[in-house]
Amino acid sequence: MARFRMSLLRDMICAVEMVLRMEEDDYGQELREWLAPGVSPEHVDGLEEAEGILVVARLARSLFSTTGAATPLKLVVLFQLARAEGRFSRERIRSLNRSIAENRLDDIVTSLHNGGWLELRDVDRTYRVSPIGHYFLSVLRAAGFAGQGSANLLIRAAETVRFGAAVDAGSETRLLGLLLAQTESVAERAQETLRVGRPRDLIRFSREEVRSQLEHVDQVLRALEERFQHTPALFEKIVRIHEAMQKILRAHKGLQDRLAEWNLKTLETAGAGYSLTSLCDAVMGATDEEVLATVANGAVTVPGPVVAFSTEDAITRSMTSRIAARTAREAFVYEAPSEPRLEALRLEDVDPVARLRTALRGLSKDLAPGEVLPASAWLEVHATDFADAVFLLNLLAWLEGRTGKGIDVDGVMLLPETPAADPEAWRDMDPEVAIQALQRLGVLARVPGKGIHTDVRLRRVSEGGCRDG
Amino acid sequence: MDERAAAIAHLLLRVGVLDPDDPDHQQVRQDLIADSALLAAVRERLSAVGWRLEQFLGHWGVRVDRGVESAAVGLPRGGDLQAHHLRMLIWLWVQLVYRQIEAARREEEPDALPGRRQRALDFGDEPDPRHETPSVAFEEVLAEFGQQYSERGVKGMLSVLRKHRFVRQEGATGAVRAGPALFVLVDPLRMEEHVVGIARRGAGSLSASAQREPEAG
Repeated sequence: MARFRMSLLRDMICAVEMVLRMEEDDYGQELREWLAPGVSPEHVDGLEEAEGILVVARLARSLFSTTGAATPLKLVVLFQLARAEGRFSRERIRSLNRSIAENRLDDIVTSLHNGGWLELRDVDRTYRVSPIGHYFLSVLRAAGFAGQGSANLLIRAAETVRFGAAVDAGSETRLLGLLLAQTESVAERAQETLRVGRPRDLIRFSREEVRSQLEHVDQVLRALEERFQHTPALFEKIVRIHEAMQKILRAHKGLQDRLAEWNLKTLETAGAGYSLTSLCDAVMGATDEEVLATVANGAVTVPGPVVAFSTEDAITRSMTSRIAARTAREAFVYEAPSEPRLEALRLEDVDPVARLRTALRGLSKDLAPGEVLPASAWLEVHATDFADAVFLLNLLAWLEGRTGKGIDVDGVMLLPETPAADPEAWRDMDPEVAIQALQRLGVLARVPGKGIHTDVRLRRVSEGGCRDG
Repeated sequence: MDERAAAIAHLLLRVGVLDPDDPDHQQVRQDLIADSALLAAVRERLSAVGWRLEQFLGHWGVRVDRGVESAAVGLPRGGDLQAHHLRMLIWLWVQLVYRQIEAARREEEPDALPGRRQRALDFGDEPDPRHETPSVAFEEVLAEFGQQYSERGVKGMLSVLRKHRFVRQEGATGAVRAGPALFVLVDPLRMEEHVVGIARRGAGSLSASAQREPEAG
């Protein structure tokens, strides 16, 4: 095996040297044209490393330069030839690839030969895959470019860190950042799936084999951890990656439990031949009418208030209501309603004549026969304005008219009189002075609200009626 | 005994179903199981007022007698239970009660989860007895109904079912367990017939269903 590897390596180096010799002159000339004036290839940083990859340039150009359909078919042919033993004539290649049209297959073989993938031995006109072709094909297959789904991204990110750290010591920060972002993204998705995922989501997530991916990431990190421990920033990132991994593992455990439970439910088969899962799916897909029919057909009894009447209930209600009534009665204290103030109805309250007679009775009580009550004594006291005064005078006239002899107040006769004055005696006097003198003499009196008028005096007379008519 | 029967009948009429977490209710349940004369007296008293004593898988309660229910005019038909509540109720009945019915038919322990022995063989652990009562995680209910309703809506529907004692739940996001009403107020035979009828009409034949399973898996 070791001898085979050494031989393979020697062959590869020979092939590379041959290719380089053939293209060296053209390459050097072209490179100088692409570089800035005065810059020599030795001064371009990274050019030497890039030139190391040029050995596969011809192979890659041959593989990918043609149409889209030709590239995978070329790879199919190469896979077949790399897998089989010995050398291959065109007939044998055709027998191995019967699914490809013959004329197309001949074109593919010719192209692969021209591109350096196949070596031709002139003696027997047979081909074999060149050593550098073998190696490049192995690298392409091992890279696993097909698995770029979310399932493989974690492993890809971890591998990128591993290879990147080996190739470029300064790229760890960036690469670990990418790995952290990828790990946190998976953790978030795991938690979301666990929260709202239906069984098929759980299965899909479970199939991504997150656990094995995490183990791989863990291995890579452990390998690099010792180096990264000396760089605090990188070590912090590694710690965060581990935290995210723990979250994924916890979510994954929950998913597995849920799946196990779901599997058990699926296995449970009801007597009618449907699993519980099928029945639940049917319920979820049923129409509202089908669901509401469960109440109509009595499958579900809606809890409602008790509408029945029971004697116990009635007795209980009666007893409790009696207790309530007794309590209410004890609490009630009777108080007699307050007596209204009752006074005898007086005639003076409703009859103005009686009111006047009462007033005159009081005034004339101590009045000696022949004495007079001036208007100021009775009229001004009981009348507040002219209307009242006129009203009182009318009442007085009415009282007088009832007897025709004067006003009878409980047997005391009062006779209204208007004093007169001799006009001749006052003819030459000043009117103001005369009025004051007449007021003073009691001829005129002040009527409330109306100034001065003739006085109406009430003179007590002895029994027998009016003295002067 | 008459007084005890009257008290039990009264309690049943008042609460509808016996609460498994209430020690007084559980004492009533024990008395009914132990004393057949008492049981008969309670049945008689309830039937005299149009109610029927029901017991199913260890849960006791009363339902309106079928004859009374059909003759009654103006009884609430559905009440505050609308189609989406009933859909969740039926879904939970299949998950929580029908599983127990099937287990009982297979002559397993009624309270044991189906497949428990197989799980013990697979995982090598004896499950915790506290987890033996069938339950559905709130997340599972949300995953099933969350595509149609918001999380708040799902919680609201569960709270209505909780109010009527169809389910029990610790907190708004705790595991959902069967309440006593889910056993007593749901007629198992009629419900099974109804659900299987829906599956037969909607899901097609068993073979078609089996063909879809690998896709789902």
